[in-house]
Amino acid sequence: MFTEWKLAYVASALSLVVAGVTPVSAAPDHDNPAGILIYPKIVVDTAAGIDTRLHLSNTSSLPQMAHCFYVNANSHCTNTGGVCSSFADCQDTTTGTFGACVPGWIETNFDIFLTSNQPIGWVASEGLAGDELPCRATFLNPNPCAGLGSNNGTRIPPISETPFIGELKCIQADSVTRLPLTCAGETCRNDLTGNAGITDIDTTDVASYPAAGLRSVLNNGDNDLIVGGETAEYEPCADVLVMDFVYDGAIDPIGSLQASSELTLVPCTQDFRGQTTPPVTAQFLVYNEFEQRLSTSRRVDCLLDTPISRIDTSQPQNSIFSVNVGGTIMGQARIRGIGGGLTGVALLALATDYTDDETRLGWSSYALDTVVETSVADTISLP
Amino acid sequence: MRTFAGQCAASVLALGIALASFAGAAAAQSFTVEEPSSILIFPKVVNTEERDTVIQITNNNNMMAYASCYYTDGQVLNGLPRWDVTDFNIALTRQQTTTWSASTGRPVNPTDSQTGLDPGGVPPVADGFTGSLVCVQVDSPFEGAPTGANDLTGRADVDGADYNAIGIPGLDVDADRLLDLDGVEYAQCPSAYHLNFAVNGPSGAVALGPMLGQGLGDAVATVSTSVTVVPCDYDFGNLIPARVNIGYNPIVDEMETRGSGGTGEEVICWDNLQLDNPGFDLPTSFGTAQVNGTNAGAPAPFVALANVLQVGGVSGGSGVAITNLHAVRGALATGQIILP
Repeated sequence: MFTEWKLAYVASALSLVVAGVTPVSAAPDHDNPAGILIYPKIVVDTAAGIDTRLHLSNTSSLPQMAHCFYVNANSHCTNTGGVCSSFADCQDTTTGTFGACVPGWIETNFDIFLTSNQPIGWVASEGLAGDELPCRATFLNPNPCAGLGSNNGTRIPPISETPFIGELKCIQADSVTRLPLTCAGETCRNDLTGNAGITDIDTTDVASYPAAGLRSVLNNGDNDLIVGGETAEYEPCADVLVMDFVYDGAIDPIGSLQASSELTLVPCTQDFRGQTTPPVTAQFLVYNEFEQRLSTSRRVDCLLDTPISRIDTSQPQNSIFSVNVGGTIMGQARIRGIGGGLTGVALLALATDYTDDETRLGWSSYALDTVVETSVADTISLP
Repeated sequence: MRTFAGQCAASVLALGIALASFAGAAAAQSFTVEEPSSILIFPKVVNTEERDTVIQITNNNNMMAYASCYYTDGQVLNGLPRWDVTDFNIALTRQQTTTWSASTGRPVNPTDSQTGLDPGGVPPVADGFTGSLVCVQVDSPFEGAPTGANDLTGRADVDGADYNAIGIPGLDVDADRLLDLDGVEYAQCPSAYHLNFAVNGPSGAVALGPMLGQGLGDAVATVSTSVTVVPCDYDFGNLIPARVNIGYNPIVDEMETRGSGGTGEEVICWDNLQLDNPGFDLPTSFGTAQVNGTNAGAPAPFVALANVLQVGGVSGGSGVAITNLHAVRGALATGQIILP
């Protein structure tokens, strides 16, 4: 017989379980100012006429400082040291031999000092420093701008090489320690907004996306920023990223152009101090318009930037992201990070031949949808 | 001595408190452009000679999802808003994504060239249509009641420029036809946004040649930004268009010089506002502005997109990008959607 005390015990235990479930909190936020901004896709390619314009704004009426990190995710040849995408780019012309194309992860960090409510913009290939700074204080002009602060101390370097693929992370920090200030709850500063525009010089087309924001909820002022989890200092990265996409090779519903999409994923855990980024496995569940499901997975080392029909194969026409396999125009991909959280951005291009970038006639980018289920825990370690 | 009934009641009360606490914590949501929601707003839907719009909606649940959708034509004729409303229903199977173009809609026809499960009879919009689309998640395919299941995400492509649909999460949704965007039944809409922009015109033109530093010459492109604004109130029952006054204050350039953008432009139902107010004629290349919505002097809810047009450069071509805006934290206002 189920006694009264057993009923009370079970109900109480159940209430404890329910109360103990971590309420769903926000994932990377594209909607509000934040304490960390992530620009997942920075592209510069001189030969192809592509560059990236970057915006960063301080929404606070007080001066703020952002400690930023460019991450160069280029692969390089072991023999020539040049930038490569595969071993085929690593031929030694004198000996005819091929080197290996090794993925890289090189970070460059710098500071941006923003005055009150100041926006600032720069082009990735050029950077911003010296006389180009809008509010540069001098001995003769100590208050160059209307309000508080100046841009002195800001030196945004140009990206280190071209072609370049990488990301930018900016962390709101104290100007002396270069670490976030100790805070809790509403006292934590979340003042940064930003966006990026990848511009094709030849077509004048621009693919613009908002930077993903991680809001600070707590901070102990140390070098390790806990993103998500039970002791979160910042709101978590998403458990699942949702990409609504057009299958590669599908005919655009409006015109007669073929669609091709690129996906860029970056891990949320990064160790800038130890110069490592633990790999994350991205699991893909892909649904077409018939609700049919296929799946694949791919390791994300530092940064994954790939046409979607090359995620699972080297032969795009056989990919689960190809219209030949998917069978419908549109699809949904649910991307789950195993071993850490992910954030990213997608880029849709329209071309007469989706396999040939030279035939591209336009492109646009958009942020991925997010689902937070269990508050995955990540760490960003600062030097 | 405690009776069985007393112990049972105490346990149920403890469980109820725990559940209420969980629900209370989860209710602290606001509008979103990336999380599944119960209301989707596509602020910019266009069908003109030059441009069309592809709509994509996805069900993020493993159960069926239904939605009642409303096209609203925001054209103004002879100074009066048309505010024509066309409604239709869609049904999505588990995890299904569906798509249609505004100009052709999507009929229920398994034999047509549009592959995939047809979500329902989606009508085409009229030629010259410029307006918005609102989809409200309901609990059944015909005359369903609103539900706060939060299963829907959406994306739109306006002639090659993509944006995420704006989602209004359901919090504590009841079954009536009055959807209160008040932070209790549904999340509130913002009444102010941050707008980062490249300054319009030659004074702040983005110099694409020097961008590469490779001697492409003075391939200068002009950049112009406009803002698409839709009030976050819809009265589909009485067909009364909503209004919001849009002002820009402050407008800040890179030298931190602050200005403002006039006393406000009235938006009835829908509008695409050019940033041609003198307050935007800045001497620097980039600026930021706070876009504020008011009605009768009080903050008014609205949704907005930024449209960036680049013209010129090496090819003399043009490109358009649409981006969602960041909301000003804490600047929320109450709205209402009235269903027929």
